[in-house]
Amino acid sequence: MIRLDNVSKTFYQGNKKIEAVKNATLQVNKGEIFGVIGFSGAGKSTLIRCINFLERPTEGTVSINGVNLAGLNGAQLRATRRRIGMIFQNFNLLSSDTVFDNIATPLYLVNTPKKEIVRKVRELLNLVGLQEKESVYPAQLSGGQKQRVAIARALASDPEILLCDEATSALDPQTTDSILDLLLEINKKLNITIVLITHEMHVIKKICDRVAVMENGEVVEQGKVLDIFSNPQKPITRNFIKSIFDVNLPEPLLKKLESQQDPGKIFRISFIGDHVGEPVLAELVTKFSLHPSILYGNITQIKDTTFGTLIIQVTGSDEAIKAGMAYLEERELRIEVIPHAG
Amino acid sequence: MLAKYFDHFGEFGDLYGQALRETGIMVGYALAISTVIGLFFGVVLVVTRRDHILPNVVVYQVLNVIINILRSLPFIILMVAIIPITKWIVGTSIGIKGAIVPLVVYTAPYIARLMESALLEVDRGVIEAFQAMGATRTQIITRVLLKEARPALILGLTIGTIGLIGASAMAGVVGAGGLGDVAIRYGYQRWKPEVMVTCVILLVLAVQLVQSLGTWIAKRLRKR
Ligand SMILES: Nc1ncnc2c1ncn2[C@@H]1O[C@H](COP(=O)(O)OP(=O)(O)OP(=O)(O)O)[C@@H](O)[C@H]1O
Ligand SMILES: [Mg+2]
Repeated sequence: MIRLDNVSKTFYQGNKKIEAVKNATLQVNKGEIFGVIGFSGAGKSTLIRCINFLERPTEGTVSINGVNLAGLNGAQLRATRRRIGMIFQNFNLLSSDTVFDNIATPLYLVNTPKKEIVRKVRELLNLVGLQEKESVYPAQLSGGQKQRVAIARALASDPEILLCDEATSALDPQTTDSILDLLLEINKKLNITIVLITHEMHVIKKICDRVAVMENGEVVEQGKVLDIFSNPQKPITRNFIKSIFDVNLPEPLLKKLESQQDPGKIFRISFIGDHVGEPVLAELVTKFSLHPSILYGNITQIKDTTFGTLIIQVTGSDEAIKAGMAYLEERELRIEVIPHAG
Repeated sequence: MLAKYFDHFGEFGDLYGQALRETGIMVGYALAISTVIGLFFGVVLVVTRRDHILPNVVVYQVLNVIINILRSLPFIILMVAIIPITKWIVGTSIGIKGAIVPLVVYTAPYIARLMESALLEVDRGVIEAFQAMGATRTQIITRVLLKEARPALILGLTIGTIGLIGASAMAGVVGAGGLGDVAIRYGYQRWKPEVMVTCVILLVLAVQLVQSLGTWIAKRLRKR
């Protein structure tokens, strides 16, 4: 549905060259929620702005439903943009218009008949839960309510795609969650493909199906959110995951374990979905005569899937440990050895 | 003493009436024309900037320089310097007609600058949101720039109008009359302090009125 092929965007400030996006290739499928995460200045905004050509890529191609945007003339590009809604960190509403008029903006732009506008705007007010606010001005709304108005406005032209540039970054955690729930609802109910960028892993974990991690203008890692969580490849990705659950054992504890008579081995076991709740530790004891002790446990929800992490210390003969872990891997649990301190 | 002051209205009342009318006509026409021209060039000065919706370095730079040149001339000099142009446009360089042309040449660039600074305050994010919605440039100018900047535009026009009232006081030089002319001819040259006082009071009142009106409208338009 959305394809970026080797997209680069370079800015020149005086004679300084800023490569905001370097060689980004990614594909967003119809109906999914695709997240892009990265630190400030990583190039996320530039990347998402390339999708509707607010920023023209210096190199590479952007295509929507197979149509290369670079080949469109002004009117065609505007028509395409109407199929792509966009919301922003700062909401970007017209301060001189009421909530109703703000939401109706995309319809006014193409001279939609008045009756149709009223019908559509009321429907959207309902969807975002702001029925009572239709004749109020943005200045009288809270941040969360302003973002709801912005979402309703973005949906007024019945887009297939919704781009969200840090849509929740100006909001408190509770409001963030309510906006994310709304985005999820829109995605499911209206089957709108969503691309969102954020610097918060929490946002990715809560609603995204797939994620791309950006660093210094490059997409360094991408894939299903579950895979990225259970098996991150790049240090920056691990850092982001650590920001919501820290699965590293404290150094003093590792030292203490090491000084034990039989330090055994330390493993991290990841459970995904149906495997959560299986009695694996008991099986290590009964089938392999191993002695597992639990050092850390965590269970969390990644969008629709439950994801558990367990760190255990196992003592027993080397062969038994090997066999035991092989058995767990056969059960499709992800096993990782954590080296002792030192 | 106050009674003596009021006595002079018997003699000068009609003169004041006519002077007010002349000032009103000069300022009214010059303001209307200058606003149209100033607003147009104000918009051009904003949208042709490098990072705006219709970037054009040449247009921007040329306009910028012309406005700076016009803005650096004091009104009294400008009025005399452009006499040939005034004659060519309205057929005469004296009287009210002859004063309106230099008043416009003086005020329009000023208003253009005032409109420019008002329009520059419009949130770039909103413009971007409109681009993302597929708005045309014309729609962005009318529906975002001019609309969002309305309170600031009104305040700018207020300042421009007050400047214009000030300049119009010098129009007596080309025989256009007005309050300033009465103040000079009667108050100063014929040494009638009561006339000078009245002219000053009338000018102060006019400026107060314009400023209050402008502030009031701007406040009503501001929705925050
Ligand atoms: N119009 C521009 N002109 C020059 N440099 C720019 C422009 N837009 C972005 N940049 C630069 O490109 C780099 C990436 O910016 P971008 O806004 O895409 O980052 P970001 O990941 O969205 O950051 P943030 O989380 O702070 O929003 C930055 O170094 C920025 O200064
Ligand atoms: Mg950004």
